[in-house]
Amino acid sequence: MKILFKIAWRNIWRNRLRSLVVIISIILGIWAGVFVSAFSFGLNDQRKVSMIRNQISHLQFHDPRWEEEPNVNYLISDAKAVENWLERQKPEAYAFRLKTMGMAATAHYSGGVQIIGINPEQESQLTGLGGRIDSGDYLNEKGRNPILIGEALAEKLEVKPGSRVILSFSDGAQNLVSASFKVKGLYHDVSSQIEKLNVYIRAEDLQSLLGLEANQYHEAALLLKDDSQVDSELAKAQTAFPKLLVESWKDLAPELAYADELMSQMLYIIIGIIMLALSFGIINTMLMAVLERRKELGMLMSVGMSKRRVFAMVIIETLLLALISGPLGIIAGYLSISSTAESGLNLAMFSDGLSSYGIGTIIYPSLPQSFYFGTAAIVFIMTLLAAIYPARHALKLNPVETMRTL
Amino acid sequence: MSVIEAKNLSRIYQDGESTIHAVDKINLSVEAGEFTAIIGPSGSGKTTLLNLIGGLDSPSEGTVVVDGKEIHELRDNALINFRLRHIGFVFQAYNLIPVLSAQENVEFIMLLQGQSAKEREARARELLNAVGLENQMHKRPSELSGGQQQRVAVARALASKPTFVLADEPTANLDSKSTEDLLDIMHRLNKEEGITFLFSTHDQRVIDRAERLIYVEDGKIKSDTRQ
Repeated sequence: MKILFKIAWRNIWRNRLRSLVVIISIILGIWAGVFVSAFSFGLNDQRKVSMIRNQISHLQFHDPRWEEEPNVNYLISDAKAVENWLERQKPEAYAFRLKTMGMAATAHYSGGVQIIGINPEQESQLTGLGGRIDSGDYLNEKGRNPILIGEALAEKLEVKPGSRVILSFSDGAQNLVSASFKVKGLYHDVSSQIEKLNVYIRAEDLQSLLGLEANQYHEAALLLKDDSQVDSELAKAQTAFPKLLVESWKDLAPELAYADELMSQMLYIIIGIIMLALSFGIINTMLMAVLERRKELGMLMSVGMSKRRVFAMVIIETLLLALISGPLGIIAGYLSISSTAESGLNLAMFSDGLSSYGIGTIIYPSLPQSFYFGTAAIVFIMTLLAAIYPARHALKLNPVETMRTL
Repeated sequence: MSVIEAKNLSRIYQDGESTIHAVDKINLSVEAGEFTAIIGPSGSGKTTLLNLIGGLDSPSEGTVVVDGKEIHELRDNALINFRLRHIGFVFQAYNLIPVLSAQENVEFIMLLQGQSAKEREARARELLNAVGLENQMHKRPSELSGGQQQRVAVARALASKPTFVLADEPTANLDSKSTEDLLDIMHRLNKEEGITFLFSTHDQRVIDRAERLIYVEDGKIKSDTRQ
């Protein structure tokens, strides 16, 4: 077997240029596949982190009926007990909210919005909303009926800080309520959809308009210090409040939870497709190598080399091409990812497109370790499959026909 | 004792509508230790006859018995294995493995036979010494002259300790000096070690050194003389 490796290895370098072309094409293919995968994972992570940090948090508490229909009457029972429990968990942040759907109108435009009543300080700690005010100010105790609206909605409504917006919605008794709000500030979000949809007012103002009492809320949201605590904290919360619906971000946004898994599968398919294309190059190269060496292979069979060994020699030669190029491609991919993982890739020029998907403009490529092994396995398997055709072709050679003479 | 016994051996090719009798009902017996040349004009069937005796081609009719074994009854892998253990080949175009050194080329056959590294190395040295290439053992074929390559090919053919060596026009690509050197080596191995050589040739120098001459024409043996 050792001699077969020796012959195969030296055969690779008989036609240096041809072998190098194949090796370099495999390296580039794998590098591109690995880096695109890391970029996609980074994109997905970015979206997940943005959604958790800016919108949904790790855990949310609701009335169990809220899931079916977000009715203003479905309030968290005993919000005070929930608050005490949340305090005891020593989370990174938590906040209580009221939510209702309504219309926002100015003289120029009117459209549907989600009106969110917040405790400004809590909300700012939880979602960093206070730090995302581009013009005007964040909500505070001062002033009558202040409102924060997203920049995208502000453009549609043609308002700026100081302008007036009319909000209309139904109260708990299904009466239509309308109130005038003064734009306090304009916030931005990584998602332009969120900017168009959500408007924030003080919880106390919304409670008063809905006819609710202080300390009555639709939602409590909790952000943990560590992502890995989610499952254990969820179980604790469900035990502590059996009458409430407690959900983790995985229940609230299942598409985010499944995205990692889907992404892995999709990216393995991409690597597979790249390798499929490359394998035709490998087949072509090895077939040429076999056809060029017809006489030599015929001689080997004449002097007593078994067909099994001839087959193995071609397979080994092909696999050696992958064993040289595969690791180099993966290392090149790893180095590219490492060099951009800290600083990220700035895609500011595509910010409009990215924000409509809820993704920030700086992407941090990352790849799970298992993906490198998976890629190596795909390269090995695809090369092995690509080796079979030229190896079978070598087996069909007839020593007399290939050599013509003895 | 006969090492090769061909009986009623025929090889017929179909070329369009015409039928070519490349080998036509040949009966031939080669004794152990013979130094035999098959001669004849181009297209007379010399190479086809050697291919049939070497088990590289299948006869249309007849049998070839080597060391008491009817070789064309063997299946693919068994035939390859039989060739490995019983027949040494020397080719007109040397046909060494270009990526291996002279020593590795000689050892290769023994490696296929499953001999140990120590045995292989000792035998390769011995054979390369015998063909006068003790100082060229680590050179690759491309670094050797045609004559030297053919001497490596002879050493390789003998590596497996075969029953006989088949050589097809072994001197066709060699100059006079290399031809003489090669013939000296083959002759010495034949005399001193009793190795049976059967070769086809056009070369008068080879014919002059052969002890038995088999003249083939139109696929038939026209004469068989010992000199």
